[in-house]
Amino acid sequence: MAEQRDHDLYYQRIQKVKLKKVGDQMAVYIPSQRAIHVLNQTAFFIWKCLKESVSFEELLFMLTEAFKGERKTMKKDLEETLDLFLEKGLIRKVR
Amino acid sequence: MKSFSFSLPRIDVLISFPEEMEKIILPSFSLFQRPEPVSPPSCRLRISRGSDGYELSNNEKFAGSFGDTLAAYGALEEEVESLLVKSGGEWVTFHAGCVGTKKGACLIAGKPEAGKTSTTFILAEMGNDFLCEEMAPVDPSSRLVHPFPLALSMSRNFAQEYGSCYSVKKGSLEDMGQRFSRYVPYRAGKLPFPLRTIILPCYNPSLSPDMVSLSPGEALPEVLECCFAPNRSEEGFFDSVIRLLTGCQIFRLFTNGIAATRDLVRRLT
Repeated sequence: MAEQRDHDLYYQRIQKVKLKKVGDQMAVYIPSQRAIHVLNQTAFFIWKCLKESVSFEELLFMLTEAFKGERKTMKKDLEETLDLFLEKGLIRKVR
Repeated sequence: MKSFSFSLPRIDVLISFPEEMEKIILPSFSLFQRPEPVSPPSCRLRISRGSDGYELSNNEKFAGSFGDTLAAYGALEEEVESLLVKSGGEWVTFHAGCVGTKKGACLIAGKPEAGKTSTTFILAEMGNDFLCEEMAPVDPSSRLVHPFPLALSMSRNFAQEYGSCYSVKKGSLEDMGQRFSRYVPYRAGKLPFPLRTIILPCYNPSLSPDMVSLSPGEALPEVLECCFAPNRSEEGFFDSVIRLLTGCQIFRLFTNGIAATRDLVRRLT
């Protein structure tokens, strides 16, 4: 079961990265990790939104404005994407 | 002692070995180009008899001892592969087989047991120019795949299964003992081929055969896992791999056996 989101929690992407175009997708290269991560269209949108610190609810609002689909499904996708971003070190939590 | 020399794309190699290893070593390297007579070898690999078996040295520097001839041969092959990567500079070296088709070079990359060697073997037997086994060095600026025509080592079971359905026409297939067979094509492409196609085989007997086109982004994580560690900065290396993928058609080949692989790859060549 997904962990209950902390409403005081904000997310922000890490700064020292480079973007690479891979065909019609984007990849984020993290020099400190010597790693590269390919993002699909939705994940790249979320990553772009995280330039400034943003809360989960704000992100969900931006996502529902930008993409068509069920809010419940988008919420689940957003949770999974943020968890993956945190696991890969692409973003950090901010209070 | 016996010896022979051959050329890798950027380095000439001299290999010396005891006579009892001739039948193991010579056929494996028989398709490599010979160096120009005037060029002295820049690397000397030597297998000699030791107190507990065999010893390998690289430019007179001890590189390991081994209990039997097959283990010593395996270490020699790894040493040659390491030389290729080190001498390649900014080239990208894939852990892959490669054949030349009418459309250009077709790279067969993947993790161990994915079916790289069997797919390369099938493509070579279908009349395509054999170019590489185990390693495929690619110059990212020209997109040319340079030949590394090592003989193909495959499981005895696969070789027997193939032989029971089809005749081997384009090379010799020999049982080497210890449950593996070796295939030496009668000829190999001598010139570099432009990279056009990448196949990522996925063998599973319970799969329905299919071939799925992948975008460069979808293929990148897996293809990076099929590359040898670069000699330079990761960023430049990633840029090179991305550039190579972007200009290719990429396919995942879901196969459940030899007949399915033959049917699927026929569409690509």
